[in-house]
Amino acid sequence: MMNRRNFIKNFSLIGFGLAGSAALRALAEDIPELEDFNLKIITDDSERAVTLLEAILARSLSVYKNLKFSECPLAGQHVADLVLIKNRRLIDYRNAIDELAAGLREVARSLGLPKKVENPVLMKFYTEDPRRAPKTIDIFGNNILLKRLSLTEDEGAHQITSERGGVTLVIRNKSAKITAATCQHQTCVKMGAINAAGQSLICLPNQLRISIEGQAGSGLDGITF
Amino acid sequence: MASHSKKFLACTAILICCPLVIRAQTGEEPFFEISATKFLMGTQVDLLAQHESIHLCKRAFSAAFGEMERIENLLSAQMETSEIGRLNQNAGRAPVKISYETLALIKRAVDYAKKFDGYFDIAIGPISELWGFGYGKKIVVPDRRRLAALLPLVNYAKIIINERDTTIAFGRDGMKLDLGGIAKGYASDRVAAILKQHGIKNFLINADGDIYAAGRKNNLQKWSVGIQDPRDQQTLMASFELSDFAVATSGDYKRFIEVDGKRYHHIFDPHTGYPAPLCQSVSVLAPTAEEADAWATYLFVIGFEAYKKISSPQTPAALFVDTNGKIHWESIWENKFFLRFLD
Repeated sequence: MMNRRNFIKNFSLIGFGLAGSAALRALAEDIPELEDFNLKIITDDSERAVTLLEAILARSLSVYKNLKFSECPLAGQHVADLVLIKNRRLIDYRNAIDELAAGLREVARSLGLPKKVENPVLMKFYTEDPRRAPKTIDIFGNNILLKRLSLTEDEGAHQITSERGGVTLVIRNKSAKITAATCQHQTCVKMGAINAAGQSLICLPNQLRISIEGQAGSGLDGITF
Repeated sequence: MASHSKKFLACTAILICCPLVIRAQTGEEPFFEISATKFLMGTQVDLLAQHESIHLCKRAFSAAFGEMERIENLLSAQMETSEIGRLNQNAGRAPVKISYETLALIKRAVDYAKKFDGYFDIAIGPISELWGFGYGKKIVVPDRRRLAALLPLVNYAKIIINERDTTIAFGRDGMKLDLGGIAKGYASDRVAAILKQHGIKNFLINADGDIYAAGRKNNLQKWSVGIQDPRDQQTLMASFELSDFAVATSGDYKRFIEVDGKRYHHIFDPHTGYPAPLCQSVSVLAPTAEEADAWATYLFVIGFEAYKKISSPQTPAALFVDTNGKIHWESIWENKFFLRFLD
């Protein structure tokens, strides 16, 4: 089960610090600064959460013309909770005084967060900075997020099991590779190593998808292959 | 003086309000970019949309994925209970009644086969099954004689379509359909129709690399699509822009085995029963995903030299990577779709 500490740890791998030089760097590179925004919520009532958050975000975040949204079911029991990271800093929305924080407090109160839930959904509202090096790797089985690993810390071999067998995932030098699989075609093994945001290793027979978090191909919306 | 002050205040108020009015009129509402991914039709399907309502998109995506599941249940050759599964088991002995939807798709596939001189043939089922591709079996290079014995079954002309009774029969027992060269494209077009019915105008569907893009990513940009390097699956060789158009790629790297240094992949020349040897990949642009899908399969089989001979203003634009890794493309890729090669 994922507790609150792990929730924050797992979903704040992009973490603290680094914000100080962001403005300077953006100016130096002559590109508009992209404010970093990352709101993640685990809930068992995604419909209600979306209704509440959509209104709050549209009101509070008109600066974001393209806030990204995605959701996926999580495996097992979790602590439903809400985490906000802005400019790579964890925001204590329970005590902050701005409109967004007040809205998030209302969402948390309305959804009864934090609480233990079965069959939860992870929802993400976020901006994406393609310049940032990817840090996490998500493992999906049958469309459900099974686990999240650090691409930078969790080096070694990981056994990922599925109903039909599974694969061996090796993370080394900030890249991930399937080295063995129980499937017949071994297509996933032949895919080689991935190391960039949005890249995926897919084992269709095992219904496993291993994706590096982030947008693929430096701002591309899709890849034909 | 008082009158001037009032006028000044009124003017100031108008000036302050103007940007708000303009902003409202230009529709500069915050937009969300909503994405969702699911395993369907034996592949990964990604949906991406730009919309002000996440709620509406979630409903639309749910309906879209549901439609793909429905189509998978109709068309999957691997499911014994699907309509194609029932045809493959029984249509060699007697006509099998199926839905008009499946019949109409088979009819279009047969039309493609006629147009493509049999280099695209949905009666390829016995060959795909023998090699083991797509059937969860081990892929093996089959015995030459067994392959030759099955080749006469690969013949679209022996698919007997009865539109009045909505039945299909096969002219020879043992024939099997495999709609792998067209089903994903058809499903993507159906998904596009459903998203549009839900009022979503700007979206991108990516079904295992076959993409349909509607509208634009935003006011400034069309949707941006990358083309994978066929010999390095984690590298892109080019990118281009797409709007209200589809692209499909057939490649020799999606499913393959290597035996004695030779690659055997899953796109067969229906005339030989062996993997088509002329290309590493072919990407095709077409108004619908179904057309792009069928053309990509066909052009992969005939190769670039044959494409040059048949090419006309009506032929879809294609980008070939031939068997030596040389890239061939037409100027329309650059002029209309802003193709650029990546380092």
